[in-house]
This record gives sequence, structure tokens and C-alpha cells, in this order.
Amino acid sequence: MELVRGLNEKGQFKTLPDGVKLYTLFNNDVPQADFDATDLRKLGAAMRDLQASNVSAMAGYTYLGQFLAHDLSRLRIEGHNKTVKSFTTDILRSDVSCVLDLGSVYDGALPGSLMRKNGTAFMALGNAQVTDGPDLVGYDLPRNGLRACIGDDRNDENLIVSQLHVQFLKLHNLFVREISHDQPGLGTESLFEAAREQVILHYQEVILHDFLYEILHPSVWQAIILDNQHILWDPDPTEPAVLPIEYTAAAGRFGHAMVQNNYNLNAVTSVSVSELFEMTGEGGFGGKYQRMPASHLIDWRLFFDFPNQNTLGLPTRNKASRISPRVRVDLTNTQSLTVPEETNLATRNLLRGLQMRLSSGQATVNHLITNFQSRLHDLEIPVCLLSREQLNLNKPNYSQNVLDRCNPALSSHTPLWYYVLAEACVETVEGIGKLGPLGSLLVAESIRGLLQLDRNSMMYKRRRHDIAPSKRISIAPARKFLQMSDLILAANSVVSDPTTLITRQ
Amino acid sequence: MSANDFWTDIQNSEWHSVGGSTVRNKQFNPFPDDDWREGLVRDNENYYPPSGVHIKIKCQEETRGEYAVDHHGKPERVPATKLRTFRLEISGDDFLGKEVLSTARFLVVGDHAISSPLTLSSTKSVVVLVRLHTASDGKQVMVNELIWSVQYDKTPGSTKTFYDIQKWFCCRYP
Repeated sequence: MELVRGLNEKGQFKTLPDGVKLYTLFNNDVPQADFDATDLRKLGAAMRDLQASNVSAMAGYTYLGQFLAHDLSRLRIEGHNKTVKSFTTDILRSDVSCVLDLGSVYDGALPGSLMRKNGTAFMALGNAQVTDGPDLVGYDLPRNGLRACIGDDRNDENLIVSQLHVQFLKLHNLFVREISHDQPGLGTESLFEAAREQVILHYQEVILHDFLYEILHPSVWQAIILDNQHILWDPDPTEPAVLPIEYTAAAGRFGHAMVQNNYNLNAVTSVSVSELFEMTGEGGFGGKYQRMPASHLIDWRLFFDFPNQNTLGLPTRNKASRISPRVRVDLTNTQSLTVPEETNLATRNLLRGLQMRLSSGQATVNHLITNFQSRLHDLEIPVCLLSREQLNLNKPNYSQNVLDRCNPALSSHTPLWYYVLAEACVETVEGIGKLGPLGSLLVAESIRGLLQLDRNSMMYKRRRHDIAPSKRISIAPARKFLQMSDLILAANSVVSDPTTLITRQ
Repeated sequence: MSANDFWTDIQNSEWHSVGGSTVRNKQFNPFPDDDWREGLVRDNENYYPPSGVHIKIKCQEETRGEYAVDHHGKPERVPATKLRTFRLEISGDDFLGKEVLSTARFLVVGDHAISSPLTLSSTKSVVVLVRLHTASDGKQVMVNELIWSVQYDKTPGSTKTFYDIQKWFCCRYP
């Protein structure tokens, strides 16, 4: 069984006992950490019960992050068509590329498939169910019964991700219309491919300039993303596309801390996290509906910032929880797995880090400071070792001494994932919490490296300019950046509360 | 404290939050961990300002002229009234209640002020009562009492509601 395709000459693959090789940003120079699994279980349980932190970016970024995670790391069980649940222990089998290519949207979208609108370059859309009236057309994923006809069925496990997926389908259809207008002679499949390319380029730009800006420490964002510098990873496009384990098993899992308990979906419906999982095709729409109920459609103004859109009179807009060691997510739909799994997500992440032989937070920082100090200084990236007090923070200026209570040794030898979360509590930037310098560097270098590996990415190709960017960023005041709300606005012409359409019927 | 004292004291004042609120004190959420009401109280924590939040009071006084109402067929004169209102200009660290508290208008009623009703979601709303308390060292503290109303049964037409009262406070700046 080939687990990771190809090896590079730099030897940046970590070898596990069963012969599995995993890619690491640090060339195996950082000693791997060993933890007692009992300590990690205690820590995972304690993280669940920490007090909540303050709010952070708009809540839409939590789920744009999950959408990105599905795009980056899709795992399949051999011999099965169905995508493995993201929380499977079978982490090592990967049959798709790790590049940002929207495989979750486009895989399987062949002519004649249910994912396509018959005989055209358009993607198919489904309808939302109205109790006492006709369906709302084009508001849901295309479905065959309950099952969504999409490239990755994980995108129908959660209502917000599912509705976000719909926005990318609509964006595709927008580009089909725009491109066919400019190039009327283009054949159906060429038109489809041209639209697909544009959706991917726009999505990549939103990930870099909107999503990562909201998540990363500003100095890291400016150096690695805006100025396209690198410290750890400068891959050659001929190398295989792989995702570094520091991202997959640690820094990339920051979104688990951003989950709120409740969300306002629109003016009339608010839901708990568990309802997000029930009100999808995978969740059987809570056993109450045959299709997506229109009452649960999302008013995106509550999830992203829309400049120039009036938000007065709307319910409280949804913010993400501040990134911190407080992670309270219970996985309930693990029954289909062949291997029994941890239902506490925090514990599962800590055990995953141990399983992948990750280095500790301290060893990683020491390695960076020893080997890259002048480069970090030049780029003004303030990576430094966290103190015991800082590591025990679960909110700014507030500590429940979680590491010390589980095992004081964890304060000097800390799992990388936990370290990255604690680092996010130390500093507040522009009034909100973001990842700290180490976590930001691991995330930024991983995403930047993946785009450099892909000859079709925005690093090598230019997008169309039909959609005007609107995001303003204080450190680059002369420029406007493309943000998710720009894509949603373009794909829908107008953004409003979808439930108002129900009452008009 | 007379009405004038409250109005005088609150005008043009500035406050800073130290993150103090009863919702962060287990004593004020007496429900067991597995009780759904415990979760309702805990879920509201992010609506309270953390430390590092700065609040300026922006006052507005409006005069409503004299008018008459019909009272058993006879016009009853209602004297002119001064409506003393203020809103909060909030800066610093973000928190979930920032937006909604910034849009609230508070009406001064004697020695306290009460906010306009604040709708947070289709099932959750809150009203804020503001008082000024003089601490033992003579310094003023702004005490905000949040009166929560959460409709917990989502069946259309249901009126099953959970009520809660929690407080948060700010210290006068500087």
C-alpha cells in the first residue's frame, strides 16, 4: 500500500514503525515528542470543560476553514467510493491531491452526472422545501433522495458547510454565464473547465487574503502571504503535493476551538451545534423533512462581513469563539466506523499528534530560534518560547492551570496542537484573537507551499476581474482584497434573508 | 440618589471593563452540569465584555412638547418631558454583545436607566438595567443588570421561557 506518493530528496518524510512516511516541515531535525496517552486523555477532557473565551472573527470563517480542510485532506477507504469520515483513525491513506483544487466541489462532475445540469456547463442545484408552498429553486445541494450529489460527502455533514458548498456551485454558474458571454464559441466542456478554473482561483485568493488574514498573526500574514516570503518550505512544483503533518495534526486544527454553541441562521431560526449536524442530508434533516427546509437557509450577512450591507435589525451576527485551549466538540456520528473512536475531539486531536510522532511545542520553537533567528528577525515574526503561565492561559489574563492540573510536565513539554491554541491567548490583535506567531507560521507556510506546488494555482495564473474586491486591511491601506462576502454577493446578485422568500409565496 | 445625580454622573463618563460578571461565577449558575439550564446560562457568557473593553457614554437629551390625550371625553394635558437617553460607544477587545449593546439606547428613569429591548436571536432577548454604585473607596462602578429571556421550546406558538438575571460591571475611567 502506497501511503504518500513519492519522496523528495530533502528527506522530509518522517518514517513510522509500519513503514508509513509522513511529510514534515522540519526535515526530521526536531526531536519527536513522547507523551503518556493517559495524560493526553486527561488533558483532552479538561480542555472540554474550560471556560469560554472571547469572540474572534465572524463565524463564517470557522466553516470556511472546515470547507478548506475537506478540500485539502480527503481520505478514502480502499475499495469504497464513500469518503471516510474526517475523524477516522485511518489517517494515512490518501488518494487525492492536497492542493487547493476544490476537489470537494468538482470531483465526479462529469457530463451526464447528477452533479451537472443536463447537457450544459452549469453545476446542478437542488431546491429547498417550503412547508406550505412551492420549493425555493436553487438553494440546496443537488440530491438523489437525501444523498447530496457532490464531490465530497463530508460537505453535507454540517448545515453551514453544506450551504457554503451551494455558494461555490452558484459561483461556478456565474462564471459559466460570464465566460460564455465573452467567448460564445466555447464548447460545453471547455466552458465548464474555464469556469472551474476561475472558481478555484477566486477561492484560493479568498483563502489567502480573507480567511488567513482573519486567522493569522499580522506579521506572519504580511511576510508569508502578502509578501510571499518563506522560512521553512520552498517546494519545487515537480515535487508531489503533500500536506505537512505539523499542519494536519496540529496547527491546522485551530478551527476546532472556534466552534460556538449556537448560531443564528437567519431572522427566524437559531440552532445548536448538534442541530447543524442533524439538518443535512447526512443527518436525515432531523427526521422531519425530506429535503433542505427553507426555514434553515442561511442569511450570510450573519456569518461574514458585507461592506455596504445594512445589518441593522438583524439578529446578533455570529462570531467565532476565540482560538484557545477550550475545545468542546463531541463527535456523535462515529457509529459507522469500523474502529472505535474517541468522541471527544480534543482528546482525539492530542492522540493523533502522538500517533504521528509530532514534536512538542517547545522543541519546535527552539528549533526555529536556533536555526532561523535572523530570518525571523528580518521578517519581524516574533516567535518566542511561551512561559509556564502563558501555556496555562485559557483566556487572555485568565488561567485554570489546565496543563499543571493534568501533569506539570506538560507545561515544559507540551503537545504541539495545545501549544498553538495556548499561544493564541497571549496576544489580542485589532480587538480579536488570532493564532500566535508559531501557529501562524505553520499554517501560512503550509498553505503557501501547497499553492507553490500547484502549477495551476493563483501563484502562476491570473483570475478574471468580474468581481470587485472589498476587504480593507489596515497594514495595506492602498489596496482592497477579495473576500468571501464578495463571492457570495456576486453569486447571488443580492444578499438577503432567504426566509423572507417563504412569506412572499 | 436623585435623578439628577444619575444623569449628571453618567454624562460624558468613560468606563473600562475588568471582565467582572456574575455569569463567570458558578454561584450564579447553580444548575448541575448536565442540566440544560446550566448550558443556557453558560452559552450567554460571550455576550459579556471581557477585560480590555472601553466604554464611552454618549448622551442625548430630547424635549417632547406638551400634548393632550382624551381621558373619558375630556382632554388631559400631558406636560412637556425631557427624555434623557444615552448609548454606549464601545471599543477594545471584541465580544459577542458588542454590536447589540452599541445599537441599544438607554432611557434614564430616576436613579437608573433601562435599555431598549435587545433581540439576539429568534428565541433569545435581553434588557439591560444600568445603575451606578459607589464603592467603599468612593469610586463609582457601573453595574449592568441583564435580564434574559430565552424561549427554549421551539414548537411554534409555545411560550415556555427561561428567565435569568446576571450582572456585569465596569470601573470608572481613569
